[in-house]
This record gives sequence, structure tokens and C-alpha cells, in this order.
Amino acid sequence: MSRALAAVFAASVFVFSAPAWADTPISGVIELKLGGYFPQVDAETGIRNAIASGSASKGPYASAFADKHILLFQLEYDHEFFQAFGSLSAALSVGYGEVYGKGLFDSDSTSSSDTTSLKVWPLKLLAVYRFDVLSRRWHVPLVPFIKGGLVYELWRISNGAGETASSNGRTGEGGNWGWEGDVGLAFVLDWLDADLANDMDMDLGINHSYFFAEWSDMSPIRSNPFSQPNRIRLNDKFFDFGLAFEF
Amino acid sequence: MFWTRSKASAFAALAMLAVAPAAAAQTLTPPVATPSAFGAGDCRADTPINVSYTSAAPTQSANTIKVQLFATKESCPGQESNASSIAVPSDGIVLVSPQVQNSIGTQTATLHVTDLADPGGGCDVAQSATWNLCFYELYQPISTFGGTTDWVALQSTSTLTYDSLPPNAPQIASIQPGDQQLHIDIDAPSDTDITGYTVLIAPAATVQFGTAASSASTGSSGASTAASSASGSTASSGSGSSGSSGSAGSDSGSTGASGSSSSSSTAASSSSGGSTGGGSACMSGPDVISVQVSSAATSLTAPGADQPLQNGVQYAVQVQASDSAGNTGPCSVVALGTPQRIDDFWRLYTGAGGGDPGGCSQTDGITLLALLGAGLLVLRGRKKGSA
Repeated sequence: MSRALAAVFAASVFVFSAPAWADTPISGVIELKLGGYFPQVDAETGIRNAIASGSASKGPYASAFADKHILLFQLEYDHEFFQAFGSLSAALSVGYGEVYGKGLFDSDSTSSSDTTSLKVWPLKLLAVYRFDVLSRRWHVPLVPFIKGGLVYELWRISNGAGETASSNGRTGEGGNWGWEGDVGLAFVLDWLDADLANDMDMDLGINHSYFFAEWSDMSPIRSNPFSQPNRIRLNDKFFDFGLAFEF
Repeated sequence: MFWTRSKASAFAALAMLAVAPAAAAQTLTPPVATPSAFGAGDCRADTPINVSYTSAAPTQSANTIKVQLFATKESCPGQESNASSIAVPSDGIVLVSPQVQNSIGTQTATLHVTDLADPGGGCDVAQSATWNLCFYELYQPISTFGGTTDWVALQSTSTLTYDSLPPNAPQIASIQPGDQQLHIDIDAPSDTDITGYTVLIAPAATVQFGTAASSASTGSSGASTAASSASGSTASSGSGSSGSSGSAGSDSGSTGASGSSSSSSTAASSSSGGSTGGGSACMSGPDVISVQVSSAATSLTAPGADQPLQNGVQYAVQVQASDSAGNTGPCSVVALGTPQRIDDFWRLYTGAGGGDPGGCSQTDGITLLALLGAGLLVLRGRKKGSA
């Protein structure tokens, strides 16, 4: 009982003693984020069947890249067009990631000195809802958010000479359409130093800054109005982390 | 009390003098030669070296301003008392004799690389020397009473390098097969000014090796690890060959080593002559591919996508180093390597049943552009509306 009372007391202090933040007009948010992205190339049906039948021991991604993750960097701009009970934005996002590995000798499938790579550029058009009511009305420094929209992910595979790979007339580059859905939680950094936050607003026009964690379901292969059959599976569910600046 | 105040004032004045910055001494911009390093090739071509020098307005009034510029391997001398010119050292090459300047600004003088080579030896004498470019501005300030005072000399210095010593031959430590290419690891020569390498590649069957040549190769499938000496080798189609799979040989002084892996090569053998710096004569001929690598990195990949090699064919490889003065050294001894078919990620993907046809469709691009355009129009419309 006493522990419960102490917890309620601590929460009250946390909520009601929080500093008052500047509340100047807001037009958008810029996000910078990094995440460990693992394209599910080897989960493609044809490849899974080949492994199941024993004609391949491992998938091509595991063979070439030893199941390494891609460090995906993304830059997102959210244009806020509705601010009342939370904020609603339209967002454009561009990203870049690459992974390097070694090609395998055709004769015995052992690793060679030739480098091969996969590079991806996910482009996104998203709708974003940020539930910032908690932070604005009650000064709780947490902002949950959700995102959803279209993804077009460009990709390119290079061979040992650094050129775009090709095989039997098929070129190792392309673009996949798909959907994306994200949920995340942002921590309002203003809460750590309200004076500095006010200075940033006055001097730089940055109303609020956030550190956030986001769980993304990026599925460029999933069925959608633009879906194309037999595309390389670049979808993945992964976490990314970053900084956001609301201005 | 009075004395105390006076002392305090005096100390303050002294302190101010102590901390006050001294008047900045007038500086002269150093002469500039671009480039600043020259080799035997420049000497043979008698390349002119343009040296620009910039005179400066003296901080004191002066009737006469002179400039002087010369090159010397000795230190740039200082001004002798009240001298109106600088004594040029015995090895000095005069670019600009003491001459009166009618205007302040930048001018150019020229010397020739042949002037820097040792007299009598010409361009073919191996030598390396750093030359100082000594630039002076001399002027005689006008005194307060209208007369002139002692000559003042401003001085600045830069350097030129003449280096006709070619770098030693690199050693090929290993050759790894690539897909239509070879990965070559080299032991760089000890020269400190290596700026790049030339890789020479020719089908081994077209390379004629000298009588003292040897080969040492593995019997492994396709990945020969042979090395042989090349004495004055030339690439001549259909002539003798060496390094065939499974063969082995040795000669006096050979340090050839045979590998055991199908994808490695570590071999080198001594040259039987015709070389300097521990290397060999370079392959030449119509079948030889020459690749310039402008980097001192010791892991090289050649020849590149625009000159693909044939997988399964054995190639002879040599490497030669270049230095900052443009000198090119002798070639390494020949090593052999065989490119092999390698499956990159895309080949692995298609080979494992991946169904993506690859390539970008026009429909994708048009759809993407349409969506982006629509988004921009919406944003623009909202901005207009809010305005």
C-alpha cells in the first residue's frame, strides 16, 4: 500500500512539476533515424522451395552477406496540416542502406575475394498521427505516434567489378512498391532542459525536439494497388531510433 | 605615497609594454613551383619549371625595391651588412638577378629540370636532391630626414625536389582469382614516395619467358599459383609458355613457392637479369593489358570491368611502382593467376530460384513522379490557402 502511494506521489510530482514549454506555431517535423534492416530475400517462395528440396543449402542473402543487417539511414519530413487533438501530417521520407559481402566460387561455392553488395533507397509517402496531447496538456514528456503509407524501394546489386550485376539477361537493379506501417514512442527532450528548449525555439525556430524509437513494418512486396509479382523480398519488421525536430 | 604611486604607474607601463604585441614583421610570400617534384622523365623532356614569386609593398617608404630569386641545394643565405643583393652560393641557379621592381605584384621565372640534374651526368644519373628556392626583396628605406638608410632584405623560401631514382620493384605476394579479373596483393617497395602502380596482365600462353625462368604451380583446379622469373620477357603470341598447371620447376636463386589452395597464390622468384631494384623487365606486346592504379594501396584489382579477362585462362601478371617525381621502377617478377566464374549476390539469387526479373519499369517511374507531384500540389495548395 505504501509503495502504491509512493508511486502515485512520484507520478504526480513528475507530471505536475514539469516545466511549461513554448507553444509557438508549428509547421512540420524533421526526423533523422537509423535502424538495423534485414531484407527477407531468402524468404521468397522459390528460394524457400529450393532450400526445402535440397537444391540449395542456404539462401542467397545468407550466402553472400552472412545474414548481416543493413544499417538503414532515413530522413523524413512531416508537413503538419492538422493540430487539435494530436497532430496529423503528410510525410516524405528518403533512406539509404548498403551491405557488402563476398561472391562465391561457382565451382565449389567457397568464398572468393570478389565483393558484392546490395544497396537500397526506400522512398516513402506516409500519413503520420502524433498523439502529443499528453505532452501539451499535462506535460508528460512522451508522444506516441503511428505512421502508414506507400513505399517505393529502389535497389541495386553490384558484382565484383563494382558494376550492376547481371545474370542471364536479368539486371540486378529495380524498384518495389509496397506498404509501410510504423508505431513509435518519442521522448520530449525539452523536458530535460526547458530553458535550452525555449532558446532553441527563439533562436532556431525549433519548438520541440525528441528522441524516439519506432517499430517499422516495411513491406515493399506485400499485396497493394501497385504490387508486382515475383519481386525480390525486401520487406522487414525492425526497430529504428532517431531524433526529431518540430518547428 | 607619491613614490608608491609612481612606482605603480611605472610598473603598469612596463607591464603594458611587456604584453603589448610587437609590430608584426613584414613577411614575403614564398615562391611557388607547380608541381614541385620532378623526375628523370621530366629531365629527358627538358620540362620547364615555372616559378611564380610575389613582391610586397614595404612597410617603410623606399626609393628602390629589388627582387632576387635563385635555387640552391644549400641553405638560403642571409643578407650581408647593408648589401643591396644576396651572394648566390656556388651551386646556385639564378632565376632572377637582383633587379629593380617598377611595380609590386606576381611575376614568373623559369628554370629547366635539366638544370637540376648533376652537371656531367645528365638525366640518367640516379640522384635525389631537394633544392631551396630562395626569394628576396631588398629595399632602402627613406629616413625621416629625407636620406636613405641601410638596405633591408625580406626573405622567403620554398623547395623543389629532383628525384631521378626509380622506385624498386614490388613483389607480388599473392594473386586471388576474381570473376574476369584478378586480385593482386603486393609487398610494396621500401621507397617512401610511392604514388601508384602499373599492373601488366597478359595471357600466360603468349608470354615468352627467359631460359632461366622457372615455374611453380599447384595442381589444383584452375587456380594456378605459379611464379616464374621473366628475363626480358615479351608477349608474343604463340611462343613459349610456362606455368602450366601441375608443372613445377626451379632455377638457381629461385624463391618460388607453390601454394596449395585453389584460390591463393604466393610465389615469387628471382629475376635472371635485365632489371634493376630487384625486379624484372616488363612484358610488352599487343596482348598485354596495362592498368594504371593511382593509389599506394597494396591490394589491387585489375583490369576492371572495361577490360574483362577470360575465366579459366591463366594470365601472367607484373606490377611496377611509380613515385611522386613520376619515375617508374622495374617490374616485379611474373606471377600467374587464373580468373574464375564467381557468383555475386544477383547470380546467387537468380540461381536459387529468385523470380525478380530485375530492371526498373517505366510505369514505376511514372507512378512515383505522379505521386510526388500530387503531394507537392497539395502542399502548395495548402500554403496558398493559409496565406
